[in-house]
Amino acid sequence: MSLKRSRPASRPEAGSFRDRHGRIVYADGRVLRFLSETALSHWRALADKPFLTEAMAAGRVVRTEETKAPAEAAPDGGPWAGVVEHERIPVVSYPYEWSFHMLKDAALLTLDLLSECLEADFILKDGTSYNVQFVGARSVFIDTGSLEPLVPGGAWTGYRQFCQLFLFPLLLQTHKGIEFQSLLRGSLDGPTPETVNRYFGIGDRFRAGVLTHVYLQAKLSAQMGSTRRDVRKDLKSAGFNKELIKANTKRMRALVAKLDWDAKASEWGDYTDQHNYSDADHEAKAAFVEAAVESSRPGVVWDMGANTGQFSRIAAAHCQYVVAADIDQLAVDRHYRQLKANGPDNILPLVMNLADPSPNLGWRLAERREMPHRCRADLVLALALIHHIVISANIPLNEFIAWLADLDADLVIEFVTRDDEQVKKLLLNKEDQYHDYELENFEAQLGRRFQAVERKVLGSGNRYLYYCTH
Amino acid sequence: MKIFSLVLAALGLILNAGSAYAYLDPGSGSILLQVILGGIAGLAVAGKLFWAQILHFLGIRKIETSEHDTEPSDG
Repeated sequence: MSLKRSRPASRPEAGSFRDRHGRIVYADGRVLRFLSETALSHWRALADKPFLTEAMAAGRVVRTEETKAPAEAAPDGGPWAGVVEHERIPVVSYPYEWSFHMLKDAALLTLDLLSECLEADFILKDGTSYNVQFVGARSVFIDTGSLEPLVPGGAWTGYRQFCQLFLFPLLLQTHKGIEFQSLLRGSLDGPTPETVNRYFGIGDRFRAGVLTHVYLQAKLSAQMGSTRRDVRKDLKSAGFNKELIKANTKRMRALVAKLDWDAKASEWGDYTDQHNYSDADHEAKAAFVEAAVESSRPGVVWDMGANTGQFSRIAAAHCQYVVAADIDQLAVDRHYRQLKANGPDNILPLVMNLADPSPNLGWRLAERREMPHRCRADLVLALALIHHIVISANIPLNEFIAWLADLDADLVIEFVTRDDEQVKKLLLNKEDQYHDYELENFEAQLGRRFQAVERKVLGSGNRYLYYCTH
Repeated sequence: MKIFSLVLAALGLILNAGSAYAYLDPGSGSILLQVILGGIAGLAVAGKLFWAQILHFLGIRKIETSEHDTEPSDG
């Protein structure tokens, strides 16, 4: 799937440089991975392995094949001995934008792939959650460069990274109810065993996975941090073998599989079940959105404040791909599980706070990018959202409309008046300093930056819908 | 199995206590943990590993260095 308005013809992926044996480049809409001589030999040894071809056919590993590429597309860091091409992921997302079950499924995919690798005498050289992407609600392993031949006697070097970027976030949310997104966003390497150990009290040590993977790992890491021993060589001479890695992987999978998030009803997780407007209004709103999407004919739709995706599904029937973002993890998690069970397959649910969105992060602030850099929207849905932005998040109304205009996309937006019960609730215990939150001002701001195509007042008289072009 | 793990961990901690080397290798503990988590399969490996340590601790045998290790590292 190609997205509209692509950037320069060839550009290296700024997040792909740590492994010197491969580098991703985007060239004319293609995703190319340039490989060192070693990596190319690994790929050729791997390419016809049945476990890999089956995983690719099932969509669990990104479709990849050896190809040729123009010399001018080659990135710095060579010499490069060969190139493989990956199927394009429609919209790149990051673990700190995923809900609990998205991260859990990505962890299980990684462990399953590791088990399959081991049977074929291959191994994953790392264990990072950034090696997994989502196409809709389907998790896909994207880093074929991570698969390399197993060196006898070695342990799994990705274990600690797997803990920091998969297991610990899941353990913290399962056992302590600590939502992991801010932890992963705060550190691209994830929380260390020592840090996570401080979150768990003595009583927590007997909860699944805590004693061994957290407490013992923290203590051993502290003790071994000053060792001069070559632990890997010691292990080899002591007879460490593949069976041990397989046994550990199996145990880790069983642990991850039983982790769950016992969330209470969230602020928004059941919102669609208890919306405070009539069924007739609801049907009118759905029809308005559908007509707008059909008219706009977008490639990519951003549904902001998507909740459990009611309007995302309407949009998805008339566009290539929908990014369905919501601040509430429980709503996103429910949406994800619905999509996984019933489809459609072109909606990507993400946890995102628009007033505090995913920033540029990492080396030179370019490894992980803000959403507008990853994906341009052709149409934005902002339904029942503006009162939360202006009143709850204190973003001035004109700022919000200006930001929407900067996205350079068509817009379907809903204004909820002060007579609406939701708005009254938001203002109940706040000083009402929101003089800008008035219909007249909203329409004036919208008119300055968009061309209104259609306007509709819902029957209740409290909700106004607008379809605008940029 | 938890008791077994704890005993091994304790052994690891005792044997390494007091080592005052400067080189930082934060992954070593995580690698060693994989032996401890290995259960029965890890027992033999752990036994050999720590027997070598005990001999070293008692001054009976020097730990082999990796000078002769020519294995390529491309991780």
